Amino acid sequence: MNIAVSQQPGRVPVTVFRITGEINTNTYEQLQEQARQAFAAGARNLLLDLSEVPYVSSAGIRALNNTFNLLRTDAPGENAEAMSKGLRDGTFKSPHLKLLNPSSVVLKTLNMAGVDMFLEVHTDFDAAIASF
Amino acid sequence: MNERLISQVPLFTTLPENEIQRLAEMLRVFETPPNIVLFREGEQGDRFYIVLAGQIEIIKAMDTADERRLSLRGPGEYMGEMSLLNRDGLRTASARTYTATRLLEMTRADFDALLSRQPALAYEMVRVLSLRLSNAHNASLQDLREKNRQLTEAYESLKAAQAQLVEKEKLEHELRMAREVQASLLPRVIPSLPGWEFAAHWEPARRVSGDFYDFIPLSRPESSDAWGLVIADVSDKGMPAALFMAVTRSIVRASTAGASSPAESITQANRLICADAARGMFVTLFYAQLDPAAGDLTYVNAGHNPPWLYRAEAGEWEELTRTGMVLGMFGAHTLTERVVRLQPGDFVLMYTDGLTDATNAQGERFEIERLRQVMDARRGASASDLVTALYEAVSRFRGDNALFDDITCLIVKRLAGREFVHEQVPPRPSGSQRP
Repeated sequence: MNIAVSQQPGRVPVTVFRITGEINTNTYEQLQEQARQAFAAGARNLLLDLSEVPYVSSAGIRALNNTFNLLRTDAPGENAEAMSKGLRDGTFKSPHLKLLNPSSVVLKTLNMAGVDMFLEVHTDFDAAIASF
Repeated sequence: MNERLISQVPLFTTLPENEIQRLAEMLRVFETPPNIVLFREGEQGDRFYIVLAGQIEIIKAMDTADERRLSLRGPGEYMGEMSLLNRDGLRTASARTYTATRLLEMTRADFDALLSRQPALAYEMVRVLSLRLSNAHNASLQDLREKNRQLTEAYESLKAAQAQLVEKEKLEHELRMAREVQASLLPRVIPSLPGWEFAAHWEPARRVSGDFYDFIPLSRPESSDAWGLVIADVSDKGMPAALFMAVTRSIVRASTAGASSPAESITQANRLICADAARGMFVTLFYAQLDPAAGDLTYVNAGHNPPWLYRAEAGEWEELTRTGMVLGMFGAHTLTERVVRLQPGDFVLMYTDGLTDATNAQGERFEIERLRQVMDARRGASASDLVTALYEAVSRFRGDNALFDDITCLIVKRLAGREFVHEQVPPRPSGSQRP
């Protein structure tokens, strides 16, 4: 797996990870580590471009969950109470971590695990950046 | 020419001129390239050599593993005198040219004659011999110390390796125990229900597994012989997954006992699992409550790969898709439930993704297509035959390729009238379980 990191100046600065290769047992820690490094360097909004990711295993879901937790804050829209209500009503989505262009196979895996219940999935790069 | 050379040899500097002349007529000067053996240890010696130019190695145990250089003799130094002085006449060490060398050679007869003419030379030689002996003693002592140090080091390494071995054996033993404990957490008894058949297979990729399945006897007002069926996959492998699996199993069992509906049970289980979940671990789980009288299966699918429901009459497959997110991520998450009614001949296949993700030597995955082909070819088969066919197909497919993920599958089948009579066989402690 390879991760190309770039910065996009949107309404807020967005860090983009363009991932190439499977996110599986052997690679998920690399994604987590890269996210940790970006966070330590000040990144607070992350867009994961999955267009070149052919497969995401359960370990990959775990990496997404970890990254979601890494970027989560106690702001009014995403504190425990808001999340609890939003998850119940199906209105909660992370304002800090979003996904771009997963393949149909990957999207099926993400949906199966329920990742789409807390992460936005975009198909247009500009719209994704503007959504942060 | 030779006279000048001879007079410069320290051993001969005190000799009178006529003796130098005599030696010059007597001694042979010769040259050798590097790496030429002049004499070997243990051979009969009858020559004495004086180095004029270059260097000679004096070696003990030459060409063996214990080869050791005693000294390097340079211009003015000599060698080979010991075998001429010793009673047995044997060489006490070997000599090999280290560089291109120029030497003076003296025969035993010339040597003896020279010493009897010039006894003072003997004193000089004794002085040099004594010095060499002292050096040899020191070298031997140092050698012994070095050997002792190496031995101590080897002993310490051996001790450390043995400690590691003991530790590894202990860990292996603990892993074996863990596997036994884990296997004991799997159902010992397959439900025995008239008109229904159950079968399961559990195959860890390592010693222990993050997969499990369960049959939970439930006491429900609407059905006294209701059963809870569980299949789950922890998002990790090895010991951390095994521990998480044990916790999840207990929580699910406890949660299903008191709750009134599967959705309520698993929502509560999720809250408890979230409180215990560490390091971002989560578990995908499919829980179904079977009311055998009505044939109703009320299920919650918490992010688990959808089980397949085979409709015998229509010959069609249905997926029992997600009704909620994986467990262990969000404690506040509320899961929902759905109901399907199984007609005679219908069955549900639940499995973990280790089955469809099993890879062969070419790196291809087994995938749902192959799973469906195996099932399609045996639609009318018993639950146990279906399970056997499935894991045999996966084993054949992957060949010698190691199992990458744990494999678990479970089938519940509502028997058609003609299949009704069947025998109950006790399940095996691990691996396949068939009625």
